[in-house]
Amino acid sequence: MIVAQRKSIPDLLEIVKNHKKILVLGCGTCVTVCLAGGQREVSIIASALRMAAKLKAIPLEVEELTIERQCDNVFIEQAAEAIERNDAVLSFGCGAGVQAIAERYTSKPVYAGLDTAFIGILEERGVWAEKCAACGVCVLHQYGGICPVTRCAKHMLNGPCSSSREDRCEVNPARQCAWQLIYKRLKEIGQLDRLKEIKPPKNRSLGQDDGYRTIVREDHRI
Amino acid sequence: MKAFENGADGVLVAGCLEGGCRFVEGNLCAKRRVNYTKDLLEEIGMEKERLRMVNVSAAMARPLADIIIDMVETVRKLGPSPIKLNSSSRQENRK
Repeated sequence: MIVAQRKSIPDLLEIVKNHKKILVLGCGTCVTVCLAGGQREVSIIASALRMAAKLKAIPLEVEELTIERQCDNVFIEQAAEAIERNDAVLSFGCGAGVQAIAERYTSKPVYAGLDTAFIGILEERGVWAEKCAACGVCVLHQYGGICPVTRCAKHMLNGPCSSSREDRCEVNPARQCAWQLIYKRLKEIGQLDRLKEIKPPKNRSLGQDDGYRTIVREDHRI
Repeated sequence: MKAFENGADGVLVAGCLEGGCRFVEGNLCAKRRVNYTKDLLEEIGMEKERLRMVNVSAAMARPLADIIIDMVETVRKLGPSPIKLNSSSRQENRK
């Protein structure tokens, strides 16, 4: 899922300072699961914004709504009336959701209430970790299901480097060395011979280095 | 948050004793969320002392009474909720 975290209340107030009526719009998908922008968080933040505005004597009306998915036109429609009656939208979707709303409702300012961080999973309660860099060419099959592009600080395809200590990464000892994990996993599944293959450099043009990416499925186009 | 938004001067959250929650760790989760809410109150610009969580059992009437008295005293010292004050002054201005 996409993992995000909210901006601070002073930052949010600064973002919406030129508006008198705003819609705090939550999203029921990824950001709900990572406890950043779902119905509950939207309710808390809307309350917080109303209170902060009152304390600073800023005239601000805050309406709240959470739709199933902000990155999908079908669901965005559900927010049309609420968006119409407000001056601006403070979206608590991920970066894709914010832009989808902005593209659909071109006459309204749409702002991001969250900082979208990464694609990851819930590792333990209250802890999310990045697992995928969306690099465009998945190599997980070669590394026992552990991604060196995302989880090795040096993004090494032919690792490990010479500086890991025990099973810790030299860049940040709080992190496990991805290559130690890869070795252990490949050993466990009987595929250690994969480490003998020298991997050629990755085609970075399929990643974000070449600008934003699109995928076209002709079989689904109308 | 809703209580504060509606003008509460203070909020006291009372949970069961740690280890004695019917929902196993529900009161521990509640404590962490109360702490988060205290930080949020501070971000907004309100005194976080207006919110407190305590752990008491049904057999602790006297300690609970003392806790409530102490909470009331804390809130009294802090004064009325600034949210309530700002709302009423705005209503006065409208009149």
